[in-house]
Amino acid sequence: MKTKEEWVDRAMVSLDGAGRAEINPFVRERILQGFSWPVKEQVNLKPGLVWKIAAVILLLISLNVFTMVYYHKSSAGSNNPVKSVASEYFSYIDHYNL
Amino acid sequence: MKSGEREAYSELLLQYSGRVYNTALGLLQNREDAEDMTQEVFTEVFRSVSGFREQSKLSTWIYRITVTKSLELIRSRQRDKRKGIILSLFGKEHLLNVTADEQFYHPGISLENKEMSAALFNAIRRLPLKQRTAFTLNKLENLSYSELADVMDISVSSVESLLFRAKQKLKELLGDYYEKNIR
Repeated sequence: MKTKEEWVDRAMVSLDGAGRAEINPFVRERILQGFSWPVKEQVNLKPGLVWKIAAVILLLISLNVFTMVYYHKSSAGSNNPVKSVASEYFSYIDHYNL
Repeated sequence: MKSGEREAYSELLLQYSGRVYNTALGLLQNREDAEDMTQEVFTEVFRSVSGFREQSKLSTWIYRITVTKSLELIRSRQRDKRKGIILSLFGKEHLLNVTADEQFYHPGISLENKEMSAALFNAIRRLPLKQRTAFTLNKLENLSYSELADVMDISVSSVESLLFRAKQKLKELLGDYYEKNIR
């Protein structure tokens, strides 16, 4: 049976000559991958969803074009001097019941 | 190196990952933590190697990052443990995060020294952090007193003093361990 002092002394030198712990090569690869070339996350959309998004975009564009054309037409109409004189003329007739 | 090619990083990793992992493993005494720490250290090394001023050796700089980050983790775990003790008073002890393996077996230790080294690692966990760092790096990485002084940014005489006190404390702790578990 070893004495306490002997045991403690042996335990104190139990790390002497210890080999270096080897790192798992997978960890090294993970480090390289993680730092230098981060894998970009791909977003996978269903084909049906893509067509729906395209349809919505097309609808929005059509609405914009329609609004622009309509606005252009109506503003062009209100600026016509003949039309404005005529409407003023008829409003006088209506007002004085001529 | 500073140009940042993959080959250069790969070579640096190959050359120093063993030292970083072994140091982290000795300090943290947990394989998963040491692997995560190695990743964290090299992320930092790759990010800031361009700013490395070559005033010290590259190995010293890398050891320093490893020690600093490992000690940060240990301190944060100690805070968690204290929090856990408080939580346990309120019956929420399941929230306590146990980290270091209770019996830690270093893979580089020979079979005949396995049990005694586990007792020694157990005692090392109870040392103050500076003594723990100095003793671990001296024993596991075979760093000289002057290399330790560079890594820890202290004088050689401070290293001698730290190691002397660490050995005294370890003998005391191992004596207690012997009384409780071996006798």
